[in-house]
Amino acid sequence: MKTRSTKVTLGLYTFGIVWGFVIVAPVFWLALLSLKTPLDAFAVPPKLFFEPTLDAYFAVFGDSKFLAAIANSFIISVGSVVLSLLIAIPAAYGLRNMRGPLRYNSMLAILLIRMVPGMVYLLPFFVLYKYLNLLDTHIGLIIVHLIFNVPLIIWMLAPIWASIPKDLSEASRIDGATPLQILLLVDLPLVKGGILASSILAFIFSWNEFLFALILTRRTVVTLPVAIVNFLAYEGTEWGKISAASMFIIVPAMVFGFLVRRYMIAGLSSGAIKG
Amino acid sequence: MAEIVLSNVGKVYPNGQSAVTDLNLTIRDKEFLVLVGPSGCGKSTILRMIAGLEDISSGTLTIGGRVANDLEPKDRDLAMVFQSYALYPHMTVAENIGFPLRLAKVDKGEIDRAVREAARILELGPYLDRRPAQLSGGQRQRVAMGRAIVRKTSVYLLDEPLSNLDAKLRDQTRSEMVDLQMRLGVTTVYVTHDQVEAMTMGHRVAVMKDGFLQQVAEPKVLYNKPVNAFVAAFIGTPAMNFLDAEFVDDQLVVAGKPVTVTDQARANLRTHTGTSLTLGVRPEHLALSDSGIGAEVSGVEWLGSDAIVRVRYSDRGAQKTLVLRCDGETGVKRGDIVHVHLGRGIHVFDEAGRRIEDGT
Repeated sequence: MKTRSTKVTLGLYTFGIVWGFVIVAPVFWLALLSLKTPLDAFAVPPKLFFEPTLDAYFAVFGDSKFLAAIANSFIISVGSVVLSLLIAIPAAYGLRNMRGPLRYNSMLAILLIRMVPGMVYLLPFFVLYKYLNLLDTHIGLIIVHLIFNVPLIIWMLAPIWASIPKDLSEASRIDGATPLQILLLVDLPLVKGGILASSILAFIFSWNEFLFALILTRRTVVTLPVAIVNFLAYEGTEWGKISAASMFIIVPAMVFGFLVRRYMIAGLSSGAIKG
Repeated sequence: MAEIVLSNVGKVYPNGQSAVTDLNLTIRDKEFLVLVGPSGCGKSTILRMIAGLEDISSGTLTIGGRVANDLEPKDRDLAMVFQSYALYPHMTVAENIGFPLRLAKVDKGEIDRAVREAARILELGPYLDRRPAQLSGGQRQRVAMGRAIVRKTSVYLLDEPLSNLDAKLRDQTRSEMVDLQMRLGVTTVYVTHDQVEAMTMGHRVAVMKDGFLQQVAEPKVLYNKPVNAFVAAFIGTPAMNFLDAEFVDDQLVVAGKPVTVTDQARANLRTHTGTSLTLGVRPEHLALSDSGIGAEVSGVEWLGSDAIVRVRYSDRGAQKTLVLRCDGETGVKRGDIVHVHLGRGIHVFDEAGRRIEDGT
């Protein structure tokens, strides 16, 4: 490999730093906003130094509707991840043993499901759910999220699975393992990094998902992103509460991502590396 | 008692490609049989059919007197060592070796005892808590062996188990494996493309080519009486020399000179009068002398006790090369003009490459 010239390296770093600011700036703004009093929030020019207050947080966490939204989001995200794994793991295991056009077309079909804009699914699901009485239920939203999470997990796991040498499953067959034992004792421990990484991406998707949560729920199963919108109330927009609640949505995703970043990188680039 | 009998066994892949054709082979109880041949000859396919990893398209496979065509691999009472070793990366050495027993629901204390015993035999004691990634190639290979011997099966299948080791380690491991097989007395089928491994390890060696069994015999027989030119060329280093020959006026003639053959050979050769024959002779059976085929030395490789001498001669206008194994003390140099004497260890093959018996 040719060593990069200092100029190029400098350019790349500069770009990286600037881009980093572009991404972090709104979050930083939001974080500051959540600590300001309503008066400071609208000061012109914006104040960088002010007396921080946790009033907005107390307000948000004192709001029983918001607490219910946390519970709802958590139930739906975890439920969707668990159910997605139950479907996607056997699917990826099956795809491992496929070859040629069958595998290619199956993978493509799965990807296409994920590629279709959510709006397309919205109306049919709304009508269907109305008849099935699934509107405004946890399971209803969990099922909709499967459309997005199952393909995501399959697509992340399939290449990792394909990189496990076939000899291993053959050796375990001779050693006396049943297909289920091969899956549980040999394959799953080897793809656990990928499972963890894809679960977290799926969790974050469900946690942040807004469109379906807005349309397919009413009052009972309001999730966090929808709850935030509800702070845009008749009596005026509560910027403090919105920013505090937003911070609360961002933080778990960031913490998760940070804890498992090693697996995330391995999972996301799994097609490129050989296990 | 675990004799393996393959009768009329064939393997045709779904795409129509034929990997093994009409194979008849009996692997005797406690025998170390080596399957050898160039890549793509079907040797690994045979091993995988015995293991149960490939379906058998036609014919019958019996293991220990039981028809095994449709048995699951685990019900065939055999263990297999893979070329890649196929160790489970997430398990320690002890867990790897004990895995087959764990699957068989053997109790923990018993597994522990068996693993320790296998580790003692293979000198893996200090490494039991390590993972495969922390082991050297030779140690991994021994772990793979350990996983096989811990099960006390009556058949071992070994698929090029030494090909990932460096030369020195390979020599050492080779003799260790032969020793181990003798001690354990387990019927062993060993696949390799390396004819040196085949000749040094096998009680008998089966030579394969393009899915057909060419010859199965003890190494000495294979070397001294190859049934055809392919086997003759495949076994032995440096390889056997082949010269164009014909039988005219009741004499075998090579490069314009008559070659002495036995009376029996002469009688058999008469039926081939006028056809183009091939004469094969091993490098150690050629000698430099005062008379014979005139040639020029094109290279000398000195190996210590002996030397490999390459010479060029011309036969009816075409340049040909011969390889001789000479005494290490030989004084010939590149560029010398010499004469090569043909006399001992002559093999004659007919137009189709089949051996013409010489009665010796």
